[in-house]
Amino acid sequence: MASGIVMNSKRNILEIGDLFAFWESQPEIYEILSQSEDFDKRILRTMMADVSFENRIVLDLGAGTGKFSVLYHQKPN
Amino acid sequence: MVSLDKSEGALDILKGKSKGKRIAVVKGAFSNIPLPDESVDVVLATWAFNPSLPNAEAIFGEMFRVAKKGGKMIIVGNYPAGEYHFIKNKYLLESGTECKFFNEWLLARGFKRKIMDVRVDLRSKSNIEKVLSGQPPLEMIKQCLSERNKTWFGLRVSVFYYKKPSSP
Repeated sequence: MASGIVMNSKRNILEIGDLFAFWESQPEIYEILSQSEDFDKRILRTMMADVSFENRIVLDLGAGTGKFSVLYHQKPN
Repeated sequence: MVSLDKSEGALDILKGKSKGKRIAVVKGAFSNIPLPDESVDVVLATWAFNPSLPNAEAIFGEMFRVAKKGGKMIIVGNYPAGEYHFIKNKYLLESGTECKFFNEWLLARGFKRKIMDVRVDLRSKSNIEKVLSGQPPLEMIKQCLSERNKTWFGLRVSVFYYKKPSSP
């Protein structure tokens, strides 16, 4: 057992998705996390290669602070 | 681009970023999307869903409703393997049950999947402290990053694709 974390036994824990309520109350902190996700833009490149976004009406569901909404306007470097 | 979320705090930040861009910022629930039927070419959801998918039928029903015939849906979520799950297992925590359910649910409904490894890079110790504090899964990752003296961890993700049929 690593120090600093107290766990009594193997158990289910929250997945990232279950942390949404936590993030919702802290949008500035969520923004930092959001900018760290897909840091090398692999997901963005893959999606933009697979699906055309040009002149399309796109719904960004669960856009959060808008990391992906803004990136879809730009071609990834 | 129509950017929808239920969090006013997050949308306030997004409104600042969207100035001068063709982005409509909308507050709303996934299970009651405030858009007309068949009005959207592409529906995206990147890490938008709780992997246990509560209310899934209503949410996916709404996504299907607003998508045009021939429109695309893209959903990004975690894959139940990779470094993130390895970290959780290292700290004696069961990992991946909900994530596995999320993946299997979408595959069973005809979504096609691409799996890839990406980095979540917090870039500084200050960011690590701000982001990875206060909740057990986050504290685990913080500790692991500290032990490895790095600012990033690997995350294996699933990118799901679905094309709405052009005819009924």
